[in-house]
Amino acid sequence: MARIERRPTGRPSPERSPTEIPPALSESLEDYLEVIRGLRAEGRVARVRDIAARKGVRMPSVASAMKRLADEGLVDYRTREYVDLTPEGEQAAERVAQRHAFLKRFLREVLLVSPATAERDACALEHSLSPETLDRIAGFYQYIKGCPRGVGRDIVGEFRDCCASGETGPAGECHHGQARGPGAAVADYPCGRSVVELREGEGGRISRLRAVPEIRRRLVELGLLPGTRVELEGVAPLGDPVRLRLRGCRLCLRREEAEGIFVENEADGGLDGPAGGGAARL
Amino acid sequence: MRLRLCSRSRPRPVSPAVRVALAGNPNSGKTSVLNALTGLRHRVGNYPGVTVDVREGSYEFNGRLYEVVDLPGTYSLEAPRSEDERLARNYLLHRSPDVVVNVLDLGNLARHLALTLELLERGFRLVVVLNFADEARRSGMAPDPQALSEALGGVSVVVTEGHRGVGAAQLKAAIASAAAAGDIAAAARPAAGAAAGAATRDDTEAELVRRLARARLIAALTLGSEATDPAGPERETLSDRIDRVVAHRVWGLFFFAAAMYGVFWVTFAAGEPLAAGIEAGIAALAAAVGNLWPEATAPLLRSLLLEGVLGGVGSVLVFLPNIVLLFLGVSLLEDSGYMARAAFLVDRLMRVVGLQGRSFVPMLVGLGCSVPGIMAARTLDNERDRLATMFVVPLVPCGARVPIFLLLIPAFLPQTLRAPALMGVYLLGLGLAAATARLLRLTALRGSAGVFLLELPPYRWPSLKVIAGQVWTRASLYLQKAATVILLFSIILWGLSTFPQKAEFTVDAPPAGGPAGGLDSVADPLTIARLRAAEALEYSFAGRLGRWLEPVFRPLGFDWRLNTALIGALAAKELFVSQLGIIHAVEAEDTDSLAEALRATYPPATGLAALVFTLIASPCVATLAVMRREAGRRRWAILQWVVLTLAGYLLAAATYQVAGLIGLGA
Repeated sequence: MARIERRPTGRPSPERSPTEIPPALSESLEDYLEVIRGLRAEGRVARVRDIAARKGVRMPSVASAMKRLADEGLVDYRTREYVDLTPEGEQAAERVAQRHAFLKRFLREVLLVSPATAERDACALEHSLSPETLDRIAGFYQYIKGCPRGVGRDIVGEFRDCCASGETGPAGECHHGQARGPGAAVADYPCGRSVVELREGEGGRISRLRAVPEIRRRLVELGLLPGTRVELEGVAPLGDPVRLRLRGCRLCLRREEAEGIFVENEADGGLDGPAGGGAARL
Repeated sequence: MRLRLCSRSRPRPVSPAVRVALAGNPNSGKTSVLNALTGLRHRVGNYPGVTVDVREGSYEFNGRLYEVVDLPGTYSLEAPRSEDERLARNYLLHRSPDVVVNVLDLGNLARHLALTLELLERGFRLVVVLNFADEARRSGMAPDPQALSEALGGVSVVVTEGHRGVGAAQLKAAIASAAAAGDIAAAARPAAGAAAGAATRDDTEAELVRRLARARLIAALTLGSEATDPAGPERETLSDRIDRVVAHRVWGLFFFAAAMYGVFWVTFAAGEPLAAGIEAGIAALAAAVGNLWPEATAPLLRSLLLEGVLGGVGSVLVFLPNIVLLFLGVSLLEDSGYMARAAFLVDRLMRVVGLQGRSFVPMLVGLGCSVPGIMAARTLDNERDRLATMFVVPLVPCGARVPIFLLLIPAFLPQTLRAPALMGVYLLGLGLAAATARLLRLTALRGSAGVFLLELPPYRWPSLKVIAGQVWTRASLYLQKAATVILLFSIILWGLSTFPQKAEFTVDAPPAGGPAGGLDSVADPLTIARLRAAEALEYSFAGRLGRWLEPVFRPLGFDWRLNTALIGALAAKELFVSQLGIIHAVEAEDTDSLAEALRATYPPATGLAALVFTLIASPCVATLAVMRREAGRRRWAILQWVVLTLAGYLLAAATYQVAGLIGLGA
């Protein structure tokens, strides 16, 4: 998948850095480019009236936008009636469309968003995401489609099952962790808190496990299943490794691995008895 | 891989022996079950290429022989993570024992049962042992073996009490009846194995999760749902309270320092008189033999026996007290559960140098002696970490090198620089050990950074039987495997410094290039004897080798005498001093006159280079023999020798050249 570029839609002018566009300009102008391109694709001539109708705005607004686009050299607006894209405008519109299509695809195929919502959110996202984030999402899409856990593994399929079942039980099989790799940084959103963020003596229920398969398997073998109650019992000098307590056993693991164990707060609060004083020890 | 059965030589009952394997999670108390079954009559099995201790024993029951293997602890048979687990898995899957005794810790039943289910699925004939019933009772559990047996489809379940061996008779009966149960299960076994083999990785994880869920259910049935309900409140145990202090991020370090000091003290301070006693005993024996055997009859054979063989035996036995005491200390720490805490506490510190928490003990012990230091690396579960640790242990300045430092430093440095120099030598050794470990983990031993998932077992009173067993197996391993090599090399090195023998001595005058201590007139017979000894050593292979090596060691500023002494130091580092004494024809015990002789012969630059070289280069043969044995492959011992010697050579050469530049040269 090609890099999704978000370039300035205008000619780089000397006083403006090439990657910088005033956001207000860019969003609506990009939209206009899209609309013009859409109309042309339908084999129609893009008139100010048509554009205004499609965008749901008044004609004077369209006219002023067209003037600005013309200033940027993206449209040919000499006639004051018909609007046509210049070659540069064509390119810019192409990029915008590509971005839109990609975001929609990502929302549909990875996050399994319904088609109508995907269309609407893609429109919203395409203008507001920074090039960096967009790049990362592209990388992540590629990554998740490339089966990070080995050949033949369908993470999205499992995610679909998971969404279909609504909730993930204690032995839920949808809490598969993802391997770390290029582009995976986007996946690092928290799902509750990581156990290493707990205070000493504080506990929670495991909501998600994220680790490379080898470690993940061992974590599961040791009883760190989603739904299990786990408590941060203590840390070693220098804050690493950490000591966890779960039903019947105490485990030490390095911060690096423990960071992938996410917990959710319990409704019923902490432990009974002296463990309550655990937090006060700090 | 061929298993050496330990009872081949014993008179055998009519029917073939029943092969019993003990399997279970780590810390489930398998070894105490082995002790309960076989007493202390067990030994370490011989698995070529495998360095894990696998204890084996046997017992007779109703006229049948039972051979028991205590497999290393494992969490499951899939995806073995360490050499231990691989061995347990391969044994179970490829040798199909007649009966598998699955040992479970009652305090952790839900998780330990997952392995039980896996074993059952694979069609093994199982006997389940619920261990640590005493602990479970104390924490208010009332296990129901009947319920467990029913849940597992009629498998016999025996309850035992950890170290006390209660339930042994019952267990033997259960094993006997399982063995007699016929081959129905055995017939089903290959199919089960094939099915499991076909499963993909993801399937096995789903399997694992399913098994764990079932194990929880069965544990709940066995113990009553209240005790195993994951939602229920957790009781704080005595271990938790101890860990509040002992594994605390600040206070824990004090306990750690105390424990390490304790191990060090026991190994060396307490071992010293014993080692001295052994040396004295050997010397007395040599003297006695020397008296019985007149010097004139077969002098060569006499010398071989007295100096070669007895000297070699002495250098083998002299390590024995240290090794026994070290493993006494280490086993105590391990069996009580403290070792896991120690590894937890210093893991981060040791990772700075590319090793892990458990590497601390080998390095510490290495300060005393590299031989037990390398053997202490057995406690490391990650093979790469273990090899890296063993590799760098000889860089930690051992006790045998102290006499060298104490000779060379005062000989060449002014009073004010002596203490900093000694400190510098230790820091250099430790720094090099750290750097080498890091380098190894980045190159030859590159790989997953030793995933550190450590289960902290509850504190338990160490069992004397278990500790005695461990000390015994490790001491006998040392004697069997390393001793022969040490003995052989001692004799070879004796030969090198004895042959060829010199018949005529230049008694009247000091030999050319001889001692510069101002010995002009030779009248005193003791001096003549010393001069003769120096001449004999010069004439021997060792002396010739020293001369032959002169061009090699010239960049370091060494002459043939230093080279010859270095050859002697191969046998044991401290021999460097006495060899140097002989060759300079001074009384070896008299360090001052030797230092004076050295000062007169060599510039300070040479002294510094010799200091660096003896610190780094060429571990002694005992170290190499133990390294070869513990690494399981000869090439690691060879690589260690080559790398350390080269590094020592280069650094010593650099030292000599730099020292020469700043005016410490000739």
